[in-house]
Amino acid sequence: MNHKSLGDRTMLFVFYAAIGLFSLMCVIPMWIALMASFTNELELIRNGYSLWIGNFDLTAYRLIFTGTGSVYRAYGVTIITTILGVILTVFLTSSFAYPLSVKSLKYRNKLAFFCYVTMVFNGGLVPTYILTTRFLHLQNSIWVLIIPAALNGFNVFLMKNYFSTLPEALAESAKIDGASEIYIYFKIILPLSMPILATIGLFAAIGYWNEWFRVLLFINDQQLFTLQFLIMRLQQQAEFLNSSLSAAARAALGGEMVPTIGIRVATAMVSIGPIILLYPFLQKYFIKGLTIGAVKG
Amino acid sequence: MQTSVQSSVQSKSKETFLREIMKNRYLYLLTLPGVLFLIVFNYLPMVGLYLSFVDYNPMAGLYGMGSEFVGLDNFEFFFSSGDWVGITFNTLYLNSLFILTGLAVQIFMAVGLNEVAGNKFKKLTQSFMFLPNFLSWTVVSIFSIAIFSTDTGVINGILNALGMESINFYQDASTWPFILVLLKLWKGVGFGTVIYLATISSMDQEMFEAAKIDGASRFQSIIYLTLPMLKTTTIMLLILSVGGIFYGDFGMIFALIGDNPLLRPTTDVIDTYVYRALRMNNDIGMSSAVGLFQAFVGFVLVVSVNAITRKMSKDSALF
Repeated sequence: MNHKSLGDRTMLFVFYAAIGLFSLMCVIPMWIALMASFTNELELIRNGYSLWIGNFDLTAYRLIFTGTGSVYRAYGVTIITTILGVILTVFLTSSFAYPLSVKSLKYRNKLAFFCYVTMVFNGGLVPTYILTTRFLHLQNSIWVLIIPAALNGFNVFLMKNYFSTLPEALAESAKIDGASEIYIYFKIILPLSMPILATIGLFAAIGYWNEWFRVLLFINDQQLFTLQFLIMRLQQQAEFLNSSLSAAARAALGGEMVPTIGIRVATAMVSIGPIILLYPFLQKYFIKGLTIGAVKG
Repeated sequence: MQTSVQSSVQSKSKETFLREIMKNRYLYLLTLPGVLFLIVFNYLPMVGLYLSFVDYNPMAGLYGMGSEFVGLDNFEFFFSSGDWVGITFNTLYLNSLFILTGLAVQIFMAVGLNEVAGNKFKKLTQSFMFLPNFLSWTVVSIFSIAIFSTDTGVINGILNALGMESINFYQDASTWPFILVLLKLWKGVGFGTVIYLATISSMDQEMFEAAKIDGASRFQSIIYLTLPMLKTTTIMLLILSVGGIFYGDFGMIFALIGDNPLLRPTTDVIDTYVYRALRMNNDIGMSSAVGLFQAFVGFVLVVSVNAITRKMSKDSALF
C-alpha cells in the first residue's frame, strides 16, 4: 500500500526541495538585514552583508533610540494612525456591510453595486490628489493617513458574506421582542462576528502600519512621517539621515562615521518588529479571511 | 389633467421610496457613513476625470472645474510625445511577467504543500512563505540593497568570491525585469498559495481515493484531477489580475528604485510616469488624461475578459 513508484518518489523529492528552498529564501533576506543591523559599519562596508554578525556593534540602534527623535516620532504617528484607522475601518465596513446582508432591505443590491463599482473603476491619482489637497484641505494632516483608506469594496464584500451566514432567525426574534435594528446590530450581530471583525481589523492594521504612499503625496511636515516613509527617506536621501541626528549624538560619535547603512537596516528591523510579534495571529486570521473569500467568491 | 396623473404617478413612486426608507430607517442610517464615504472618496474623483479635457487652472471655479475646455488636447500631447509607447510596453510586459510567473509558482507550491506529508515541515515552510506578504515595499527595498548592491551586496560578494566580476544592478536597467519578478514572487507567492491550497483541500477527497484504488500514481492524480479542478479558481484570479494589468505597481517600483533615471528604460511604468508628471512637472491636464486612459483600458479589459470567460466556462466568470 505504501509502496510508491520511483516517479512519485522523485516528484515528492522535488516538492520537498523546492518548497524548502523557496521558504528559506523568504526569510534569509530578513536574517541578513538583522545581522547587518548588529554589525559595525566599517566592517559592513569592507566585507558586505553576510549571514553572521561580523563585528558586534549596537551603534545603529543606540543612535535610533537616543540620537534622533525622528524614529520615536514616526513610531508614534504610525501607532496612532494604525489604531484610529483600524477602529474606523471596522466601524465603517461593518455598518455598511450589515444592512447589505439583510434580505428584507429593498435597496440592498443597489447599495452593494454602488460600492463594488469602485473596485473596478476609480478616478486615479490626479483627481484624488486635487480633491484631497484643494477641496478637502487634508494635506499635512494626520487624517489624510487615516480616513481615505478606511473603506474599500473588497472588505465590504468579505464582511457581507460573513453576515449572510448568520441565521436570520436571530434578528427576527429580537425584532419581535421589540429591539431596534441598531440594537440588533450592536448587541447581537457584532458580538457574533468577532472572527471577521478581527480579520478585517488585521487587514487594515497591516495596511496602515505599512503606509507611506499617502505620506509621499500629502505630507511635508516631518512631524507626521510614518515609519515606512522614514525608511524610504533614509534609503533614498543620505543627507536626510545626517540632518535628523541631534548635535549631541554626532558629538557622541566622536570622529567616527555615521553608520548610514546600519541606521537604515536597524530602522527597518524596528519597523517590522511588531509584525513579527503578531505574526501567529496575522497568519491565522489572514488565512481565515482569504479562505472566506475563496470559498464564497 | 395629464399633469395631475403624471404627478400622482411620480408621487406614488416617491411614496414607496419614502415608505421603504422610513420602514428600514435604522438600517439605511447605518449605511449612511459608508455611502457618504464612497461619494466623497470614490465618486467625486471620478467626476474629477473631467480635468483630462481642460487646460487646468486652479483658480477657475470650485475644484478647477471652470477651466477652459480643450477637448482631447491633453491626450494628443501624451500620445504624440512618444513616451507612451515605452511606458505602456513596460507596464504590460512587467505585469504579464508578474501574473504568469506568480500563477505558475503559486500553483506549484500549493500542489506541493498538499502532497508533502510532514505536518511540521508544511506548517513551517508555509509560515516562512507567508511572512514577506506583510512587509512593505520600503522594507523590501532595504533587503534588496543587501542582496543586489554593487559593493556590499550578497550576490556580488558571491560572484567576487568565485572570481567573477561584479554586476552593477542599480545601474544596469536590463537586469531589472528579472529582479522585479524575483521580488514580486518573493513577496506574493505565499498569499496566492493560501488561496490555491484552500481550494485544493476543499476538493472531494473520495475522488482521489478512487483514483488511488484504480492504480493512479500521485503524479497522475495531480495532472488529471487536481490541476483541472483548480481551473475555476485560476481563471477567476486571472480575470482579477488582468483587470489590473494596465496599472503599474507604483509602490513597488518607487520604493525599490526611487527616481533613478538609469533604470527608467525598463522600469518606468504608467503610474510612475503619471506621478512624475504630477509632482515634478505639475502637469495636471496631461497626467489626468493618462489616468483616464489607464482607467478606461483597465475597465474595458475586465469587462471583455469576463465576457470571454463567461462564454468559455460560466462558473469562472466574475459577474
